[in-house]
Amino acid sequence: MSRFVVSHPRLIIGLVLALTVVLGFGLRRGMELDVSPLSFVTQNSQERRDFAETRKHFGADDFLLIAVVCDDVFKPENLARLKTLHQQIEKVSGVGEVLSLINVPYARSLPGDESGVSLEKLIPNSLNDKSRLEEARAAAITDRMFVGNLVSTDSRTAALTVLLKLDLPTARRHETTQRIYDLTHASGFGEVYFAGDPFSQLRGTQALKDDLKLLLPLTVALILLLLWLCFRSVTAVLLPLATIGIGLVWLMGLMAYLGTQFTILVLMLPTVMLAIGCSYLIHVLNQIGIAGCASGQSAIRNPQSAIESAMRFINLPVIVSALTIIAGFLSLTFTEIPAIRSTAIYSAIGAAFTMILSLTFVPAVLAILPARAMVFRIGLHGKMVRFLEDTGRWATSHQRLLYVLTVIIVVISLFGMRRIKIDIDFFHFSKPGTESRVGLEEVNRRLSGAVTFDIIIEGKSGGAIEKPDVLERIARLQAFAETRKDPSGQGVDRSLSVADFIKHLNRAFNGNDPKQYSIPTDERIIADLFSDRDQLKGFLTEDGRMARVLVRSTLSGSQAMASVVREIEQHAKELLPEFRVFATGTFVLLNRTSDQIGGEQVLSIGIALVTIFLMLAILFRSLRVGLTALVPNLIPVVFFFGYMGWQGIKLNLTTSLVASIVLGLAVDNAVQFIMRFRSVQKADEPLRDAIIESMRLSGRPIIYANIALAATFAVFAVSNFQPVSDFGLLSAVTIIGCLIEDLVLLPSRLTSPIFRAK
Amino acid sequence: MQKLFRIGLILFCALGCACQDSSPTISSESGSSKAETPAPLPDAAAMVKRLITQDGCKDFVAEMHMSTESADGKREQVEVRLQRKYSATGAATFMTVLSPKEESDKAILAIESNDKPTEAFSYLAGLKKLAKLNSSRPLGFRGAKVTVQELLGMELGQYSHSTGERVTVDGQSLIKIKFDAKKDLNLAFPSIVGYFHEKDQAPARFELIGDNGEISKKLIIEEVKPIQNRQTITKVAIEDETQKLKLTMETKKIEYDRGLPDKIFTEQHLKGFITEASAKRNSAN
Repeated sequence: MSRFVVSHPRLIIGLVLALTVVLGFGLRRGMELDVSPLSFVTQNSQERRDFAETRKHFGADDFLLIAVVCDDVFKPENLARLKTLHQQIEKVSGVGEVLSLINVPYARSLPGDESGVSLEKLIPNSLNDKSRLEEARAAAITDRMFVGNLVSTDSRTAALTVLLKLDLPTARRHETTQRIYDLTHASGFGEVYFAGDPFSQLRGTQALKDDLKLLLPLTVALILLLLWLCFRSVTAVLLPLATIGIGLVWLMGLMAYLGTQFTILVLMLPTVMLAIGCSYLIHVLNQIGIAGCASGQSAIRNPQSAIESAMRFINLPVIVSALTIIAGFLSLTFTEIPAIRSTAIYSAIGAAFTMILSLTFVPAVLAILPARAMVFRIGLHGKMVRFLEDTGRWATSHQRLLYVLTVIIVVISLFGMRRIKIDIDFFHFSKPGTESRVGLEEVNRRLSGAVTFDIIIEGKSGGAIEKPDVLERIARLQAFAETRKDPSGQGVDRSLSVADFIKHLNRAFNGNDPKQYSIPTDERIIADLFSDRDQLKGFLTEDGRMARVLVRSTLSGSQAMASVVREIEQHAKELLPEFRVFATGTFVLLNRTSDQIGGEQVLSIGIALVTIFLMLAILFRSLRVGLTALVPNLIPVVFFFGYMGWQGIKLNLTTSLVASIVLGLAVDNAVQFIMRFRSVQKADEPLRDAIIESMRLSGRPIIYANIALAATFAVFAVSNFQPVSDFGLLSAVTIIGCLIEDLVLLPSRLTSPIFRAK
Repeated sequence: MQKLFRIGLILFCALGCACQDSSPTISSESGSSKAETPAPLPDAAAMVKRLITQDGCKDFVAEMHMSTESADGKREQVEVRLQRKYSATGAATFMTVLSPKEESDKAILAIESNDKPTEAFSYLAGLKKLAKLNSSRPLGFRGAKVTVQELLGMELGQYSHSTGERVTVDGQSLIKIKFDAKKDLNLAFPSIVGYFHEKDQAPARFELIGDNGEISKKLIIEEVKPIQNRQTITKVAIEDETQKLKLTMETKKIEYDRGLPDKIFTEQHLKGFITEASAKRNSAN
């Protein structure tokens, strides 16, 4: 292959460019961004089907929540302002429904024995009727249907709940949310806050775009600098960059053709590809440089033979390295979490593209460049090389100490691993102090929990819910749910169900007697109270078979929520044994994802380990060598989990990717080192000399490749998304661990006679 | 009661447009529209007045059949009886359900007064209490949302209207009149756009505009027949844009000027009717 590439460079370059044009064409329409939490949720499961069924009956649960703050909501001027805002939002294209104090229905008790109630709006048309407004205030801040949902107990904050139309395209959804945001800010209220999925998604998309604008140039600049420091050659700087750029165009073009959406996990792809590509190319260019030096003057006169010779040596380690990284990524495709699976598949494809380009395009371009372009600084002498040689000598002569140190690190890491917590907190994807986080906290504090989920109670026949004892048990379930709080007082603060509506109506029909705020025991009265069904459509199906208890919580982390949801679900099953009871909602589904992550983490690492082991065994043609080469690479992974545990970093959607990716990357440099080690061995010399020679020839590119990897992953620390930031920092720390392992533990381990080349 | 509401929607929307007297005056106006020079626009105020006062009819009793079809193909049927009486100051309506039987104890009384908010009442036999509703009050039925205003034939008298403009729809010359809700009357639709045939000034279709400024429902008049010398709309199709529902309403039977007594349109009658119907239904069960 190397000979073909070097002897047909223009054909290779032509093919690469043609493919780049074809795939690049796919990018003309751009890619759709998807920051929806549902991209992290398993598609085919009973829970997902229950969720879809619930949404069909009771409507969407991803509403926009707006909190507006003033001195007193019930002052006529503030109500007028709220009314104007409500009406303006209703008219925004894409808005399905708005609920606020302005249009919420109210059963107003009328005087007289048989007068009953007037079913009207809580806020009257005329805002000059003081006594009527005071009546509205009294009802609003005491009735469970209103307080916390539409107004705060201190009457200073009012809420507008906005449901966007179903099936709005993402771009329209964002435009609608932005328009509402602008209108609210222009409404004249002192403070305004936003929470809910549409707003999180709007801000998430903007943050994603900002990240792309920042991370990519920053990574490119870092890589340029590192390549320059490593090779001091314009060719060695620009060629890798062009190669990785082409790889990225291929990958993104392919994704665009396949209609793949750009999630926050995909955000990491360009940087990961840059890092991996840079690592390969450092080894390839280093080898070409070494081949040039080894051939002396002939290399300059005949660069093609130097390239061919270098490629013949480097092809196998690069292919094996790429395959180990691909195996690492593909081990993640067994997950049922769509966003992770998609990211893993495209990362593997990206790594394959980079490998192909490194082994074809790079030598082809070098083959047509003048010989002077191939002069790279490969640093076979100097301080760094002396340091590497000394490290090699020290490592091979302090094996026992290194084993002890390794054991200590492993033990400390194992203890740290026990502290790891699995948690997905979608609302805390954004960093502290951002508008999304502040909005969520303020809505939680001023009104009630902005994170909602549903408890669904499903009977066997129509009207199953419309019985006094069932309604009473639903009310008891709500009372139980509202006691579920963690030690810090965070938890469920409100719930709403058909039982609340019935109590509200019953009290109103009984002259507002507080004692009548209860579920009547007479079935005929219950039937009468159910006659005003339109108000119940979000909480009871038309046939009265299925009811929804809406639970509002100030908890957003999956662990904390999972515990609360489990308790409520369990209690509901006990209270209503004749019904099918289940919890659902976007965040309940995210909890299930969280549960999956733990199990799938073990599975993905297991698959990656077995695959990498098999590849190493094939490469070295020995199961024993494969195993011996693999074991040192496990240490950075153990260290990674230990570091996570001790640092209190949670295992989530992004951090769960690190282990499999880093395992692949760790093996990459180990393979390079072992291949070099076996190539420089001489039968009559001790293995230690070969190790020192390997350190001299491959140590420097390993250092630069690892620094390039660590630096590019560390760039993620500035991401707007906390999980991406955590992913970057963890990966960087683990890669530094890999570097130490490659330069200290691996040489020490290689003195074993099994590594002597046959 | 829900079926009743739904029927009412169809019924009144249709009947509000129904009693178009086929008088020679209209015919002659229709003929003049064929003149070479564009005919002057018909008097919109007169057209609207005829519509909301049923062209001077004193009262009527109608039996209506309605069927609905949801987006998923689910069908529902209901029949109602409607009694309506006009006066100088407004109109009163008493509506009951004929079938299905389990809904036969449902009734609504509505009192409409010019330029005042409409008051509608239902009576809850179990509670022995009245429930008072205003025009914008939504009432649910099998997922459909119907307001009291729709039940009462859109209450066009509570709107100010434009002088009209000539438009061509599907090759037909129509007069388009825009209705804007008067303030503080609790109306469900801030505006309504009505289309009338220019040739006979009969209503052709109505578009009910929701709070968001978009069309919420469309009423299309599909069939008109002469009954007791009055052009009566016997079939109306309603497209509910928001709820993706299709409704059709047919007038099975209608009698004009029966001389309905005032006592029908009282709370006492409503209570008595529902109490008796409820007792009957309970004993049958």
